[in-house]
Amino acid sequence: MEGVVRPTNVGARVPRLEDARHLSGRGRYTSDIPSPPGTLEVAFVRSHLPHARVLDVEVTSIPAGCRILLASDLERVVNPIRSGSTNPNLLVTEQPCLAGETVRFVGEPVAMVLAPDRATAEDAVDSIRLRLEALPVVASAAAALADDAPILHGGWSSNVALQSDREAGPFQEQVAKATTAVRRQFSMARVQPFPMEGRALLAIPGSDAGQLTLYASSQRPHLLRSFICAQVPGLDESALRLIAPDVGGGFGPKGNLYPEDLAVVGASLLTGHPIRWTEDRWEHLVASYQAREHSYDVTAYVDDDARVLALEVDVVVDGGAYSTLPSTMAIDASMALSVLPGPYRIEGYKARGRSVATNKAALSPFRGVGRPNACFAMERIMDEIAYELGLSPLEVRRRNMITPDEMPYRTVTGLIYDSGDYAEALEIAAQAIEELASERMAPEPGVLRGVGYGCYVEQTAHGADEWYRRNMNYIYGHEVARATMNPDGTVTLYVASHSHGQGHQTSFAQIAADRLGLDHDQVEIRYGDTHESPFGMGTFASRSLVMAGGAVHTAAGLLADRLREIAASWMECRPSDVELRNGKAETADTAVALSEIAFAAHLDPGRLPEGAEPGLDFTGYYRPAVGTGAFSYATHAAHVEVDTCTGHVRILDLVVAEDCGTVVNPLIVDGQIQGGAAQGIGQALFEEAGYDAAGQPTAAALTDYLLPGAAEVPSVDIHHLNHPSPHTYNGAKGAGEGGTIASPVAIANAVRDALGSGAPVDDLPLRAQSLWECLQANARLRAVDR
Amino acid sequence: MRPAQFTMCRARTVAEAFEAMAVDDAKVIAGGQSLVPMLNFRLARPSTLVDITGLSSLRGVQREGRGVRVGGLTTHAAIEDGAIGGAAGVLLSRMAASLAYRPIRNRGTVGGSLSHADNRAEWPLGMSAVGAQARLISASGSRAVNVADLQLGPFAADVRADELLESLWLPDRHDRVYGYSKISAKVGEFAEAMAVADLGRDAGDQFTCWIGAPASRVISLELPMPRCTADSGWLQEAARNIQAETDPLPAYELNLAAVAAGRAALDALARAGERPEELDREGERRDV
Amino acid sequence: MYERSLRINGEPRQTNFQDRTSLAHAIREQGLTGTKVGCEQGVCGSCNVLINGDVARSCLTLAASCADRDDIITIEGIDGRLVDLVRDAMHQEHGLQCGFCTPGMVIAIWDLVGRGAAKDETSVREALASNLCRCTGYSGLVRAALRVAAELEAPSVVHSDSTDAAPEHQEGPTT
Repeated sequence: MEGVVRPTNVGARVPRLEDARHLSGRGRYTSDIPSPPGTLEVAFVRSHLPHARVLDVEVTSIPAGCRILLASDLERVVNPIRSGSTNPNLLVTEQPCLAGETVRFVGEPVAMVLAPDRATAEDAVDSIRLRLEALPVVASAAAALADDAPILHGGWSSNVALQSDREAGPFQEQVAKATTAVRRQFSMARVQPFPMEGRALLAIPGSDAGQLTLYASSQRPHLLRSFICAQVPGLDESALRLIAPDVGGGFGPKGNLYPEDLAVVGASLLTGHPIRWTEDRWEHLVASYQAREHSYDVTAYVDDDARVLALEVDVVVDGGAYSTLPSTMAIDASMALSVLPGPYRIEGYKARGRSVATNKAALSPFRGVGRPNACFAMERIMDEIAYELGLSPLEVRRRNMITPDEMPYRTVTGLIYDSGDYAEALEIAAQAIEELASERMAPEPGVLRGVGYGCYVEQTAHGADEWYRRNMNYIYGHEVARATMNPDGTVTLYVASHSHGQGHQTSFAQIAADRLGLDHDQVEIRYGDTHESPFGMGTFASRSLVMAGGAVHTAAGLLADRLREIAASWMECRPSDVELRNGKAETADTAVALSEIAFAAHLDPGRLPEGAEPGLDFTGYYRPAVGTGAFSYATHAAHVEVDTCTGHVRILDLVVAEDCGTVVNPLIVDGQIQGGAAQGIGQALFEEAGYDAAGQPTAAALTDYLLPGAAEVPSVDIHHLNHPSPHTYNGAKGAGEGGTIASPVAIANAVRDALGSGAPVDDLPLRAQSLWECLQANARLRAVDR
Repeated sequence: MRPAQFTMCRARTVAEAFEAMAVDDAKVIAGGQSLVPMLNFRLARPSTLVDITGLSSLRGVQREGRGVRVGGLTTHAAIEDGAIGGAAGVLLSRMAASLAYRPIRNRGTVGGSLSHADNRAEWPLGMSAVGAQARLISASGSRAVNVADLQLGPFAADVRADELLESLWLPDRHDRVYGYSKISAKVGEFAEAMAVADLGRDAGDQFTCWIGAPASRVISLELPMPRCTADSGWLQEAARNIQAETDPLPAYELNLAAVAAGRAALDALARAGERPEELDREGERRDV
Repeated sequence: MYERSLRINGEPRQTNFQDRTSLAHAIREQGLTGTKVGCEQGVCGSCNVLINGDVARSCLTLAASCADRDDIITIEGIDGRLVDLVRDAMHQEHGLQCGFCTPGMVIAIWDLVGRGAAKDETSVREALASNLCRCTGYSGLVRAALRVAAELEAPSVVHSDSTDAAPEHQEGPTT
């Protein structure tokens, strides 16, 4: 009976298996792991200056039972972080885990206190005085690029870590054909990815010398183990057990190595004690990795039909003080330049990208990684082209979009789009937002409304080809899963792809259950412990459902094949005649329980067919046949209103029409889109991890760093298109990041639509005061006209 | 983010509280919703915290003379839920509902908020607008201060280190109609601008406007009634009048103050339609 | 640091903590780690507990203020039909992802529905401003609160002293 769709498996909107423990408070995060006896808690002494020479760490008296470690102590066991790539032009920063000579951002750790409890450790930090000699501060990317800028890193000739210039396609010829050039500048503020759980670590020395268990709030336990061991001479990967238990949100930054990771490991090695550090929210806001700070100078060369013939762009990314490992500070600019043309047929391209060092916390990939920025620039300029030529923003997009019959389409930047109908997403979103808008009552006096769009194409689940293309030192070409059927017939799958909200325990179980003829709640998915699962990459880059899901599909398939073979030998038929269904191996007339096969495979080997391997344990790898990626895409449409008296923006409706190919669990995918869109709304209207001209952070508390709440985030009206990727095992494309990409620009474009020309919507977050000032100026102009 | 060391004294009597407050750098804690964040950030480092939440004489709401006496320990949530009757109670309940979030309102107290004197907070404005009088007590006696005079500026109240805000007395004002407007960046945040409109006994073409944030302390002034929320001529005129009463404010903040003032007035006007039965009945029921 | 009694989930516990210890940390030191510490400034709501039946921030409450006096209920101790409905609705409506804000959300939604504050979507959204979630974008949480309110059918359910605030006659979840 082929084609039986199980109600709870692939495609089913089932609630998640992981919910129960969280709803009852039984989730276990790193800070929930009990402290073994003798545990010392860490408080860091952090720099109060953005750029300074460290003269002395003055310790007069510290509370009893406290110990202080300085850079000179840690240097004995841990090497500084040097994050580079295979691109020889990328300048490498050297980031010590404790700064001994120079501090380069407010919040940089200089010393660490170990104490029996955190409060006492903080008392000791209070009693320590850092003697710093202030150095000239580079407080912005513009300052970093100034001719006379102080240079932040030794051996560098400027503050530019990497400049890349590229010209692709017949750029000059295309420019020559153009009749209009539309040039604008755009920027996005630095923001905090802000997982609800900050960073957390607990290092526990093993009972055998040289062994260590590290609990860490990490997206990629295996890779974090590799990163740490590469920095700690003598610490072997076999000796470090890294456990990422429940992780309270990641969003990108928790895929990196942090200096505090090394400091905690180093402190445990030096003292022999278990060491715990739980980042507090102040530390999180000043010293965790931040994101998104880009500025753009874009020129679109357009013909009379509003076709964009060529694009010229200059991108500057404020990378902060250090290159994070492994992404480096070049990743954002590289991504932005690669994806800028979006869903449009643009043949000429000239781009410059510069990633610059400043005296700020380091920049990290954050959900979307450069795409929200590039999309903001591209989609804003599409609107500006429309206004310039007197066309509708929709029409300009329609005329430029790549069509399905052009697939696979090679972009001017070298991406190979695999599937999809971009205009279909645009039309669906446009229709939906118009309907929603028309259902609303007329606005109050003093309120202006507008509709705006943002479109993107997102490379997801890319294999080795793409990571090589990006010059990465680490190539994330595959993913792994291990499927085990236990002697009682229960199934456990071990994956390396961690889940911190994405619902892998449910969606991977749905995939495996389909292969094994089970219901999804009969499959247990385990992850997060390097001693349990085979080495894999972890969760990032919208890849898990495709890559790790593919590995689950493979491993569960291998297990299913063996089950069929054994059953066939018993039932005297061919394995292909056996179907796995409802916990049984069945033919048309006989059936045997999987538990019986499982018992035999493990504990009654005499029943196995001649020459058959005992056991039921299969490791499966997945590597997409084509490594250039499965390309998701969407149009986001926003309907907003602006209070002309205050400049405040309210989002009335938000529509997402997206295609992530085959959907395994619509409930989870919709949750990812909604959650991503909320982060986009924060970027558009509220969030700003600012620094003042002196390099001091201006948002070190939640009174100053505003995150969107339930009242600020509408429920997104989500529409799914389904054009499966030809390159993935089940046609799925990644869905984790898309929500963040186009929502900011859709909102900005909607405000532009509401306010008309001159609206200050080119820099995010939008500022109520600026919008009000624009409205006042327009009102004055109208008064003069009269 | 752990507080520096301090000694906690949970006062069982007012006398015990005064004694503990006499220690150098002692600080009074009631709900702690503003103080504890400052402790956690180590921005406040008292030697002693005097917890007054056990003082029964600072609790309760009851009739007193031609008004109602509200204990300093009355929580924002109690006010939100209608602990204070009459037209003032309706206004104050609405203001309480916009103050931070319910978990904060369950702990935070009106006395604590007025003593903390954040100019962006609700109670300096609300209690001034309803004519509340604060009773401050100390070991050496007590004094009464109009709440409108209590706040000296941002985070500065006319409450001495040896004094407790024991209670507030609110005069009966059943004949009033109040309107309220708060403008904030998002729900639950402190106000960017906030105003209460008092239409007086009979809504005429003027109203009394009380303004909190962005002013550094609560101000009041008479303003003409606006015609609609986006009456730009009215807003400019109101902004000029407000500016005359307060420290120099940037144009945008001044505008927000005017917008809040206008919206409060229109809110009051809309509510005036509901008078007299609604509010009188409300007042009667609560005041019994 | 000296020994005091904290009454948590109906059970008096002799505990050692300093005067400066927040209720959140004191609770967690009892092994009750469902109460999460998310911001220590009262904004995020991950540390919500019930103090004498009222939802409160345990990060902004000093344990010393509660000792020998208050009844504290944490996510581990909250029970009754209403919270069962809340948990089921959050599960059905995908009102959680990473789970870190979840215990505080369960308590917040229990409180707002129980107070009858879940009148409509707007009132739910404004009440839920009390809690930050960085994963879900709130829509599943809002749906969950409205679902519970609809399941209760009554416009207002008043909390009793017990945490079991749902009226006796109400049916459980229908799905």
